[in-house]
Amino acid sequence: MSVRPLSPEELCIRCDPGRFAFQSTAELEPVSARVGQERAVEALRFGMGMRHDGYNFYAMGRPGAGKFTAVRATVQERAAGEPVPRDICYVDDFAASHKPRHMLLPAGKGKELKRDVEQLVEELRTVIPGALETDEFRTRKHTLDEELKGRQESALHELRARASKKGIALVHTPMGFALAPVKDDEVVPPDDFAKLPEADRKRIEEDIQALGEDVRAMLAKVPRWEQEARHKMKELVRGAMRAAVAHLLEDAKKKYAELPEVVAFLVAVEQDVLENASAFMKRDEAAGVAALLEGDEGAQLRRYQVNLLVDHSETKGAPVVFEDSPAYDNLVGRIEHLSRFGALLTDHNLIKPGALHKANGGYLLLDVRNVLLSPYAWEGLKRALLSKQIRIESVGRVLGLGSTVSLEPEPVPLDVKVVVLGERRLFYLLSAFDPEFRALFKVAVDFEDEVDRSDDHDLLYARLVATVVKDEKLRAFDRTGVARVIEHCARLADDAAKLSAHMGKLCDLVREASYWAGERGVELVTAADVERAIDTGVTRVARVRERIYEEIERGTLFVSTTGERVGQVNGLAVLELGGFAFGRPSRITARVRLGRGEVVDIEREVELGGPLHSKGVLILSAFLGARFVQELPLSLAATLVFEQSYGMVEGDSASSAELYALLSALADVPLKQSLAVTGSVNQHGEVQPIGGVNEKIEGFFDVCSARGLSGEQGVVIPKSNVKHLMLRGDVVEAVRAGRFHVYAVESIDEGIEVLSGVPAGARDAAGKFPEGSVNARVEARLEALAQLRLRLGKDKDEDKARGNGDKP
Amino acid sequence: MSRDPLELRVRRLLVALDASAHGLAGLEAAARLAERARSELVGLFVEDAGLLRLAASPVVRVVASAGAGPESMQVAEMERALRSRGDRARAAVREAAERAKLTFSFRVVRGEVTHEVVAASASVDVVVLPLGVSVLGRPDVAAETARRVSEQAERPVLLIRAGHALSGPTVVYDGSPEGARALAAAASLARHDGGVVTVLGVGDTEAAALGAAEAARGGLAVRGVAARVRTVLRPALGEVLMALGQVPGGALVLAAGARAAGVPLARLAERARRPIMLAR
Repeated sequence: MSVRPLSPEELCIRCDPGRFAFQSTAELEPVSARVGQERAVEALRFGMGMRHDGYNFYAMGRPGAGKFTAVRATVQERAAGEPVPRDICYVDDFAASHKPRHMLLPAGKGKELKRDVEQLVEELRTVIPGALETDEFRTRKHTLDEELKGRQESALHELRARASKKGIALVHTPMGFALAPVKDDEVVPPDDFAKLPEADRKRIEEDIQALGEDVRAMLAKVPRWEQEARHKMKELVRGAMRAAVAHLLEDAKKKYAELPEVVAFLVAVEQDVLENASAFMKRDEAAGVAALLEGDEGAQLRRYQVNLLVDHSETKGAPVVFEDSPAYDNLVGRIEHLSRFGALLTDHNLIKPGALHKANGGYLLLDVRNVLLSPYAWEGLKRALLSKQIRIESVGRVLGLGSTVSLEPEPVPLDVKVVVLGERRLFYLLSAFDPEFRALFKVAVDFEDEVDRSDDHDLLYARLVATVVKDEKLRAFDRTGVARVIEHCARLADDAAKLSAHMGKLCDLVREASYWAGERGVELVTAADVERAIDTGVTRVARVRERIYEEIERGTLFVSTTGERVGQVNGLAVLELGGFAFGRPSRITARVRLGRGEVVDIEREVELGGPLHSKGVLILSAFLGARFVQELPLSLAATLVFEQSYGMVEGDSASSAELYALLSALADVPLKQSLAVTGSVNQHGEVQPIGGVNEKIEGFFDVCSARGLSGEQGVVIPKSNVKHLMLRGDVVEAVRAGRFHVYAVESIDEGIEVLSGVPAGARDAAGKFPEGSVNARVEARLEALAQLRLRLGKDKDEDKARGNGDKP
Repeated sequence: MSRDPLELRVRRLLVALDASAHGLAGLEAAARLAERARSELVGLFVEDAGLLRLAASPVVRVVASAGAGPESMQVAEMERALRSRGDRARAAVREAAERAKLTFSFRVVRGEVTHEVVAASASVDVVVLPLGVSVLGRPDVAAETARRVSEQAERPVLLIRAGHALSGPTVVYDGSPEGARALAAAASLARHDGGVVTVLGVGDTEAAALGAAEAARGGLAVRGVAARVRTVLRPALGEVLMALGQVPGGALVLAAGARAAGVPLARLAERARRPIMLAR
């Protein structure tokens, strides 16, 4: 069995610039950001075509995958061909001002109506006072005043006359109307009255009583007379005003004859104007909330205004709205208040639209994480979608926390497609825990994280670079620059056969490469500029990595890169900090002694090992037990340690390294410290693929480079990871020069041979491993341990039989 | 420059109040006049002895409102009612004086209203009486009382009305000596606020009326006051009322005993709907 090092060509699948026909991206046609996202785009198109309830979208994928750009572009394409929705207006319901009514008008009509009503009110402010100041009106008003006065005076006069005929005076006193007998214009003194004959006194008293009843009856009529007078006055005012305003409103009604709701509103305005002439007469005396709202003039006139909530006069097609701050109020709208003299006041003009209003009739794009993080926003969104109407209520009111009198705007019918964008994890969580979620968001738009690497896709990525260059007015890329970008996309995908669909990172790389080309003072971005952008990007975030490597170099962190040691191997881990991943070599050691078959993972014992790591270690026991001395009990006690590791160790990518260390310790075969190992292992000793293979190789390479490459150093990786290799140029060049090596192994046997230089050995027909092989040594050691254990057990039994057992 | 012997001098202003709402409101106009003339405000409330006698009669019945039947009157109740009105009148005068930064006095007397007001007028320059609106349910100082006071008092009488200003006076002038006093009083009122006097020249013929009007214009010009003139034929109540309907608001200034102009004061006071100054 011989494992050959991988060739440089296997370490990185280069993108050959020579196969591009263009010289620079300036020659390329732009392309949409939906490259490789056919499944997602098809889902979007399907959902947009479904006009039934609940066909809203959840667009999921990794952050920065270009979901938003792709969704917006796709939605906008469709929306452009759809009809412009209606304007949304709110007007006062004069019969119940706390319940403003909505009007849905053809696009542009809302703006027109608002302007017309403002103009109408202005004209009414001139026309109405004029109508009430004409000579004719004044005369008729004066006549009504005189009529009331005359009616009262006439009644009083008639009463006085009747009383006078009976020798009784009707006198107005501070206590009311008094009736007293008079003689010669003087009240008859009590003494004189007493001297009158009995019959006269009785008659006078009866007359006074009767007249008193008449006075009472007359007084009872006064309020009615005054009410009648007020009614007549009101009618007079209404008549004068009707004549003045009718023609103005008639013109408006004719103009909007095809919009019945507008005509109804204008009729209501007319009625209210006739009822509230004072608003147009003495604006500063128009009391109440409206006066306070306005502050000085025109207070009550606000009630006639049209609040144009959503204006589509300039909108082309259906609206596509992205709300980047989807707080509850920003979604469903809000009712604002004005503070006047310590009181919070509002009216229908202070109703403000939410994103649902703006997107009504079109499409609303939301980041689901932001919605979920905004208190009650998710509930508010769902309630609107379920009820198919937008009800503007404060959060406090929704929760029943406040009972302050406020507005209750009439809910607006909702017809919108909502696209929420977010992570897959949130999609699955919502699906599992929110029973309404799947009913409301029936269309899953799943964005690929990567696309296949092919000639076609390479060219599409080149056009993608051209698109970014054009959109952002960057420097054009030459073929080498484009090729390097594509290679980097494959590296981001961690797969030589794939390209990352992370559009955010691609765009950043294009921008930064353009910047470095600018720094060089050249117009065309080349591979060197892209390389510099990649390198500087790493450098900016690589402080921790540098410190760790420095400590390895200084010998603080023990990592040997030369020599051989028994029971010790270099493992490779990946650390990811702030989105930057790098490989970190770690020393793994194994010790064995007689025991009961335990392979102790010290990381797990101290709860620094994650479940996957523990699983990997447990597999080692199974491997040993299955392969060696199957007839005897596994009688070792082994300990495995990630030396100088003080944090959590998770994943099983070090399980092969741990097994190599264990085998080395059992076989007493030294392992080359110039090599590092990664890969997981199964019970059959097969080496399985792991993640972060590029970072791991580069991590060990960097440590070795710092100490000087000896030509012996290298990394042992799973063979199944070869297709993922997209190594840095310096690593590839070192391999090409024979100063570094990458070995790909399929089994533990292959790996141990590379690491030890000793054949692993396979069982012969007699079931024996070849003499001197690693496996033979391991089996011999395990057998010896088992025999020892059996012997010790036997001795113990004999001692017990002789009564020399341990005393309790 | 010699002093105008007919000039209206207002050093002490007597305000006789009945404490009704419109009377108190009319007090404002009197206070403004006193403020401009820097005169003393003398308040007077008369507890009408006639009302007290009326209340003492066992046969008298009173109807307070539409809801209550005719009831007997009690003197004590009437006294309380009058006292309450007196207190309100005192408070109103004090408030008006303090607002205008005037010196003031106030007293309450019991007696016949006309007699007491006439008696008090001896120590003042102008007597102010509120003119109520003649509407049921509201007490008023009848134009008849005003007529009696104006006849008996030896001072000019100003009949004020709530909500009506004095500025921009209109004077009725017929060329008589009494008319000359009215002209002088109107000039004084106009000078206080820099306004223009409207002259209604009264005569038996158009020529006589025009002559009176022009004479008034001249008389006002001498006093440094501009005039607008109109003519009114005698007997003049209807003519005066019609003419008043066409001129700006402000006090109507007449000679006391306005029969001279052929105008019955009681009717005029009732229907003119503006303050009336009876000059003497």
